Amino acid sequence: MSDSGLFAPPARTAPEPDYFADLQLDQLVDAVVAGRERPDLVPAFRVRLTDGPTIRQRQEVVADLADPRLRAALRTFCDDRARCTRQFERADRTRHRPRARRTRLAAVVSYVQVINDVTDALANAAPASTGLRDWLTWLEAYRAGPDFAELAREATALRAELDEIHYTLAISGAEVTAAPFAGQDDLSAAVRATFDRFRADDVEPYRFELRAGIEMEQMDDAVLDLVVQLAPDVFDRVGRFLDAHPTVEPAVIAEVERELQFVLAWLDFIAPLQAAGLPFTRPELGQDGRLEALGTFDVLLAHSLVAAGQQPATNDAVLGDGERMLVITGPNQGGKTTFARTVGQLYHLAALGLPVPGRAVTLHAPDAILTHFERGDRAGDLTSRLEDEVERVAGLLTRVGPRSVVVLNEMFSSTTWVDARTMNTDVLRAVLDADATAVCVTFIDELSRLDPRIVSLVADRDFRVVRARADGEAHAVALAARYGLTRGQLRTRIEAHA
Amino acid sequence: MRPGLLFAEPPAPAPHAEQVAADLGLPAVIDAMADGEELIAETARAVLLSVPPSPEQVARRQGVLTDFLNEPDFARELYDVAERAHQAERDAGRTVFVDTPEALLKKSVTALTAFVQLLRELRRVTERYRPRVSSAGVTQFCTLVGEQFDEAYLESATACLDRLVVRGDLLVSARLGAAFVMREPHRQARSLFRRGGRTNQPSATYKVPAGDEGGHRALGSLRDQALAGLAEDTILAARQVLAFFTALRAESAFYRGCLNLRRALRERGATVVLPVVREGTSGEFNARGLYDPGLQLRLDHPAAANDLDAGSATLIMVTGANRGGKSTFLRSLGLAQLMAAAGMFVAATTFTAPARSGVFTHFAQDEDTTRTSGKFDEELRRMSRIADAVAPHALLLLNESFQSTNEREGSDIARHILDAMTGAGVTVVFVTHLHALADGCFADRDRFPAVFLRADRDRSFQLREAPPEASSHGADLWKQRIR
Repeated sequence: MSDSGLFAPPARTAPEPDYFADLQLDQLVDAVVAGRERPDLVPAFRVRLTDGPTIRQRQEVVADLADPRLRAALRTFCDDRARCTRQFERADRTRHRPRARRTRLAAVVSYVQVINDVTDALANAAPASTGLRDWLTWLEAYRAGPDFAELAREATALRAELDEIHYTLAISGAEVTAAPFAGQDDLSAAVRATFDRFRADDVEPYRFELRAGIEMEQMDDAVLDLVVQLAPDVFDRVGRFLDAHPTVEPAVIAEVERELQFVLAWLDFIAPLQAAGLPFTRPELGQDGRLEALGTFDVLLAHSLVAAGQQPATNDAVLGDGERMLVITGPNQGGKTTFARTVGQLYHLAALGLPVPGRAVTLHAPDAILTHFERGDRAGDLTSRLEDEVERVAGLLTRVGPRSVVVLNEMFSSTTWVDARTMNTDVLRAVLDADATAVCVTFIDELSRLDPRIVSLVADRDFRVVRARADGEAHAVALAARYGLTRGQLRTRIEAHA
Repeated sequence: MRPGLLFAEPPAPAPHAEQVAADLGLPAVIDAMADGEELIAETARAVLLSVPPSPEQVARRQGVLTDFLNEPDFARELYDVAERAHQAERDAGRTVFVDTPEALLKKSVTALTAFVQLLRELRRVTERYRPRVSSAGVTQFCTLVGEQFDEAYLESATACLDRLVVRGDLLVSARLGAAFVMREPHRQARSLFRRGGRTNQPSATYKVPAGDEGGHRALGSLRDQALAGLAEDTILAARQVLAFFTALRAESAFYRGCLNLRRALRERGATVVLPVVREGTSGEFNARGLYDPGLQLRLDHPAAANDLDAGSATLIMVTGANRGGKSTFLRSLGLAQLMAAAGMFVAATTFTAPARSGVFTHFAQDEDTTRTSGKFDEELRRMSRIADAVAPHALLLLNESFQSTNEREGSDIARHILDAMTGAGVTVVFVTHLHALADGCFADRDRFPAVFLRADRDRSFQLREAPPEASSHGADLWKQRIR
């Protein structure tokens, strides 16, 4: 490994792709990076990789992270390194010299620990990916080098010496006197021992939140100065050590941390979904136009459903030989748009090298994702809205090619049905002629019979119930089933509490 | 440390407790127990509506109750000592006006000093009553108090509290970056407080300049930091001792509530009995002279009483005339089960039941059972919430459930639910006008053992064992219509 990290580096800056809002990827990314201030991961989630080898390189590292021990170790590495960085920054900001030195020494000790921990954990976990294996080789060489060993030994020894200093403070009037500790009785321990027999775990302890004013900083510094006077030579040696090591961390470590943060952000986001039984898989990169996504679902919707204790429906999206386009029809509120969005998201997420929702997913890495979603909130009267839509769809068609993925949702719904059918037919034919892979949601049933390359899908959440009723299942029992109250359902529920 | 008169552990609230209490008319019983004291009401509610304890625990409570029925003043005195501890805590609170570590340390030392004296009084009370009690619960409590609060311990506690009184100077120990630990200064080392004392140890002193206001505020903050750890430990100690008194107050309050309720029922000529509670698998469910205590408390003549011989049948179907005493029977059964689990007596002349995993109610929400899909949906949703919590050996009471749809659908759904519930070991008592359901259950009574009770229109409000009769509800209405 050179100084370039684990895999094709995630972007540091990138504009939002045109299709992000349509596919709700903007909301998804916001949800994924929520609560992660540093580093800024949003650009990393915006930029798709377009060639197979770089995607696979990332997939390999992500696959290594499926090992919970390794994942935990690398998460610890990221957290600890972030904490360590903040410690160095705090030391740099501190003006009181003994305090700045204490903080910086602690930061160096943390840094040594971070390197030792991550090297050991990685060696233990024996990763399979080229990216992590190369990084481990680098770490082992770095750690074994004379500079690091010397740094580690000295910092640890000095830190231990500082921790050894046990002193007392006597506060009397306006005077504070420091002296070595001389074995005086611990009053807190006496209280705890005397009333130990009343110990009750359900009693809340009281915690003071002492908010010292700015003037306290000066007092703390004064107390530290007293301690320096009790043990002057230790503090001298700390100062000389720190002056000899103005910088400690090679740049590559920060780069690797950012790459790991990117992967971990995604893995953390999907973890509760996996725990709820929803599958994620490493997508196979197939030839252009091949699509086989089994048991897939909308990640963002699933996230909010699982948080509310519910489960999303999972669906299959499959294009067989000679099939290029999925056309989805069905009643409103039947999940048509969600399905189309899900397929679009799959292509983007797969091209980030990340695990995608589904039991098994095969697709290609597209050169473009082109989407058109009717947006009701767009300003203007119907005519200008239609004009705007025509403009956008026409523009989309100029960019469509055989490696493109096209997602169309309820095109031209603001015009008459006959016009909409004609216009939709033209657009679909153009997309088919371009040999692109496409998903189209429409209220026009005929579109599903336009061409043999089209697969017709029906969102039939409620129709399925109706057919079941025609099979002789009483309406009331169907209703009971909806509440989990049929004989079998209910018995299982009760026995689960046994 | 817990008094152990009532709880081995703090009780877990039973699921759907609010609904069960409202459906069974529990507030009337609790009001009679409280007799105007909100604390008793609170404890009674918590005990009656908690997850039922084991039969052993029930027997233990019955023993304690028997002791207190014989020595009612004992319960009262325990309650009073515990209440005085709370009063002492409130009094100590009135002596401090800021929440600095120093002030709260002082407050806690004051409270603990009062607690130590009250523990002594508690010991004396238990010593007085000990020869006159016999139950395991009460004797163990007396032993606990005698052993834990003996004179030597109480004196050592007082001595410890004396050392916590702050008199100006403070001494703490510390390491860099660690919290301060309050220390008791060596008597001979008092000179440490003076600069350049007699000792040979190195020392260094910082003196806040006279005019430095910020510095003096910082000195105050340093004192706060010095005292915070000790104050926290002492506050926690005071809270833990008070928690013991709180538990004692709640537990004695519960038994005082039982005494109040028995008195109220006896004044109305009603009897109560300690029930027999067996293991959940025992399959014995019988009662004689079972009445609704909530109803009895509103009457000055004896309330209607019923008998039940369910044996090991886990389904009891109740059919028959409106206003024939069916709902009252259901409530009397539910209340008896809750009171039995609480370790109380029940409103009956005899009562034997298995320990339940819980009591659940599903009552039609008002008398008007018009057929609207919204209502039916609501009933199913409510049943589904019960299914989220119900476990084998529970008791489920249904009152005119699923009548908000047509009879056929209502019966179909109810049958699914009955089969699943009884199949999983839940005992179901179902008051219903769904004739298709009751009739179907009656036809299957050989395969699925059930008891069938019927209310008649004879104004006796008593139920008797009888097969369901066709369309009593409809026939009643029809007769009214053609009259």
